[in-house]
Amino acid sequence: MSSVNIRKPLSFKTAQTEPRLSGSGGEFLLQVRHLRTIFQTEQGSLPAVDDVSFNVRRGETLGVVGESGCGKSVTGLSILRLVGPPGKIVQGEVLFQETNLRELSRSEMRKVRGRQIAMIFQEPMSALDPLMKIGVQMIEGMQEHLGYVRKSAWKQGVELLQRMGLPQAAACMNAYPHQLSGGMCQRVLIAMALACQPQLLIADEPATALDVRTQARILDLLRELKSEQSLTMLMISHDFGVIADVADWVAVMYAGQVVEYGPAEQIFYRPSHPYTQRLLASVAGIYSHVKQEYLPVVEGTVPDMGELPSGCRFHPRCPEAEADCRKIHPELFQIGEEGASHWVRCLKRENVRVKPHAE
Amino acid sequence: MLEIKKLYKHFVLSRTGQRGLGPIAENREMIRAVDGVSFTIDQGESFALVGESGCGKTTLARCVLRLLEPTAGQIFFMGKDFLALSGAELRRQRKRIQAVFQDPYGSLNPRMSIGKIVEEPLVIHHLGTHRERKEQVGELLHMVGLDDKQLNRYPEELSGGQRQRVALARALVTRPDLLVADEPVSSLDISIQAQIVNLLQTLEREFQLTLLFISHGLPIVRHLCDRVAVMCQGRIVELTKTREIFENPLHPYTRELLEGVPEPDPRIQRREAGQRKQRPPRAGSQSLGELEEVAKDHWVAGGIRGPWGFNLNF
Repeated sequence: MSSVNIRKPLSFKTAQTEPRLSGSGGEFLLQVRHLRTIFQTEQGSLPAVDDVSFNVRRGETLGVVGESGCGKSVTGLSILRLVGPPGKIVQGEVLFQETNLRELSRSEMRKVRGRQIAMIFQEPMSALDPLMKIGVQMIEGMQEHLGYVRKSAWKQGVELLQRMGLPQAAACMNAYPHQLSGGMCQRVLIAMALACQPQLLIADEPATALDVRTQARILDLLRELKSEQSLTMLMISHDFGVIADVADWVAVMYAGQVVEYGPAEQIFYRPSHPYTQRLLASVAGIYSHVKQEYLPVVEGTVPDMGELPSGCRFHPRCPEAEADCRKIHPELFQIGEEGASHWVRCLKRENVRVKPHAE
Repeated sequence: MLEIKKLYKHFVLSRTGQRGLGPIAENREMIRAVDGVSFTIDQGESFALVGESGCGKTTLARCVLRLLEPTAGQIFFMGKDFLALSGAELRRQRKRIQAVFQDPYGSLNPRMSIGKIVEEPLVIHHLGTHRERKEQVGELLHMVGLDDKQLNRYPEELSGGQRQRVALARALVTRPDLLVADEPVSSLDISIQAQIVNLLQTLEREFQLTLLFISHGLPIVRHLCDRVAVMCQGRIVELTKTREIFENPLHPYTRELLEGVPEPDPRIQRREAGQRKQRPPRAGSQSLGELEEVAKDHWVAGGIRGPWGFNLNF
């Protein structure tokens, strides 16, 4: 069955054509619409991802940023339908090349995972099977999705590892995960994710567990893949430095929701939501070239999903909060000049809201 | 106050260990985790040890705490030979050196309440009556920004930032002179990192602490430390004032560490990425010779003669 044309992407919907060159925007590869994933616990159903929407354009990178526990990783997992019980996706659409992934059967979904959409997980050491040789794990996907025989898949694997800049790639294929360092494991995982030439790569904190030098090399590698192979990426990270490095668009998440969304330049240089502003100031404080007596901080911590505050979820930590913020839960709306494509979820920014008729 | 002279710590690999490293690592019989390190820390100073993972900085810290016995070398604490101490005298000195570790999840006993955890060092060192101890614990929790409600909670109920605050309270409850902080913020969220750095600064002043701060990232060090030692493969390659490290880094390894940090600014990142691409990749060989003083209080490992650029053999 898989022997037809191994190079052609599986056509579960209309055959996908070359990226359109016409038009500045290009088409969306991935559209997430009002996604909601809940976790059934003793505390009731907790919305880990609550009404999350965003688009990823072909060849571009969307950075999803936020503190831990704000639903970034669950968003990534929900796209691939990898959320296990007690978690459940209850609402929304995940449109990948105009196909709603939520409507696919299990076997159709298996053909998407690894082949069309690949994912790199957070901890490189624990994402690999400790009892299997690197090579065996590398070629699994190629055998499954591309119908390669073992020998050619192995050869391909060595080539991939070499391209990732691993010294002694052939020896690595025969090694077990514990024999490699964290940085090497991360390269193996990236190579593995790219083995079947996916259209979309979801990278969940790909550089977090690594030290500075290895991190820089991994980011260079991802940037190279992006520019040379126009790889589309969804980059999940809590590190604004990493996001600044690779992202074209940024979605800032807080307590399961997107609170600000727009082009990277907008978010980094003209942040609008009080949370983004404070978080960026705090990060900039750490990276500042001037020694500071006291670093600016965002007071407090992310709320527990079981005890979400009323009204705006950020109001207990927000210095701008007023009485209304405690009562009304703001929606995500567009702000700024027309065409700036900047969305924010904050009552205090109603004054710069783009009126709906402005379309 | 703390003087370290020619400290070595080598780990001998067992036969099976060697076989385990297999095709990847070269067939080494010994890992030279700390390889002849010397430095001094003055009273009240905060001193940073920076380097990538595996450079030996944690091993060095563990030697200072005497959690590991060094292979060779000397450690003087307050003028006394710390390695020669044993028994009661060692215990007495140990309460003056306390530590905070990287992983706030692994370093707190999950079966002890927060109150008990912070009180434990006082019990071990027989300090104060029951009542005085309780007062001390309450006072310290307050100082690190936790309230009495947390006293009877257990570590699993706290967030990472709160746990690190508990670890700090525990370390400071015996009023130590030297605090060894081994990557106390690197496992925390960036917003929480800033909170803990601020807290460390306040506590440093209030307790007149001497701080040995270990980190793999340079940015945080700038706000906290007076002097920085950069470690690479078990040796110190550059040692100078914090300002000097950032403004005038001399060793190529230090520069690489500085350049690798992704800054939260897309324009800077794009420019740096372009520059990194143009530069030829550096050869693996680093100059790891003896430290030489190239400018006042600026020590660099051998072979580098300063920014004017002769004899730059790397």
